[in-house]
Amino acid sequence: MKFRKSIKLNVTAFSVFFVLTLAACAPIQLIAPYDERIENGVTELQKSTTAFFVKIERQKGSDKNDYQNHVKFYDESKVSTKSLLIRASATAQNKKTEGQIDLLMQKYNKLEEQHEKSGLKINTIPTLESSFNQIFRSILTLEVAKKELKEKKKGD
Amino acid sequence: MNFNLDISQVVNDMLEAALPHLSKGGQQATEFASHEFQQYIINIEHIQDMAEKGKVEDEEAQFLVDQYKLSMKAVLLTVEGLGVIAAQKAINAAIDVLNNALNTALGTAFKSIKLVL
Repeated sequence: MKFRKSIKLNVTAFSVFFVLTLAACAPIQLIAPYDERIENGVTELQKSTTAFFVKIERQKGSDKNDYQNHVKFYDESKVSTKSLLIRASATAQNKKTEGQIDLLMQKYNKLEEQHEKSGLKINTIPTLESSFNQIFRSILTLEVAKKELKEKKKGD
Repeated sequence: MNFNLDISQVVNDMLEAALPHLSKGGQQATEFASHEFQQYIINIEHIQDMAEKGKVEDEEAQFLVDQYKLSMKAVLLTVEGLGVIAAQKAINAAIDVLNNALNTALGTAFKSIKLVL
């Protein structure tokens, strides 16, 4: 009888040990999961920013007097970027995406500052557009890589 | 109760599962970084050229360089992020192997228990 009790206790202890071991072996997460709204939001910003540069090129540049005609673009871009920044910062382990969106905000601020102060010359537009495309590409590359993590999880 | 877990075999299997993820992730980060760095150099040279030829003023050239600096910081964050994703994939692949080994060992152990004496 005593022997049976001892076996039963050993099996229970063994099971508890394994449940704990398996729980300790749960998958880890080092980076925030993919966020579709970040990907879509950044894609929308990329489109509106490209449209802005196309417009400036078409009108052969924009001097500081023309700045007022583009305030709407700056307002809308900054509102969208701020929303994305808040969303990114609300997710745990998302410092990298948050940092990237903060850099994008700084770029819009500096672009507007320059436009208001000195205008935007036509020959600087391709360079500016290329620098904005670089940051959009960076943010999207990271987000798409996170998406692959999510898809792999689903596949498992 | 017969609980067989070949630790050294499990460790080898874990490494085997993890390494491809690290290697692939490293390659992806390197390809992305080298493309963006090249692009950065080409663009900075272009700005310098425009400044030298008087097509843009110094202040405008500085503004353009500052714009690229901000973009490059974002590029570096992506490179870091790709590294973290590769590490996460590698660690989780190794954990999967460990879980499977433990589950198998656990199954064998329970099969060999004689519950009725």
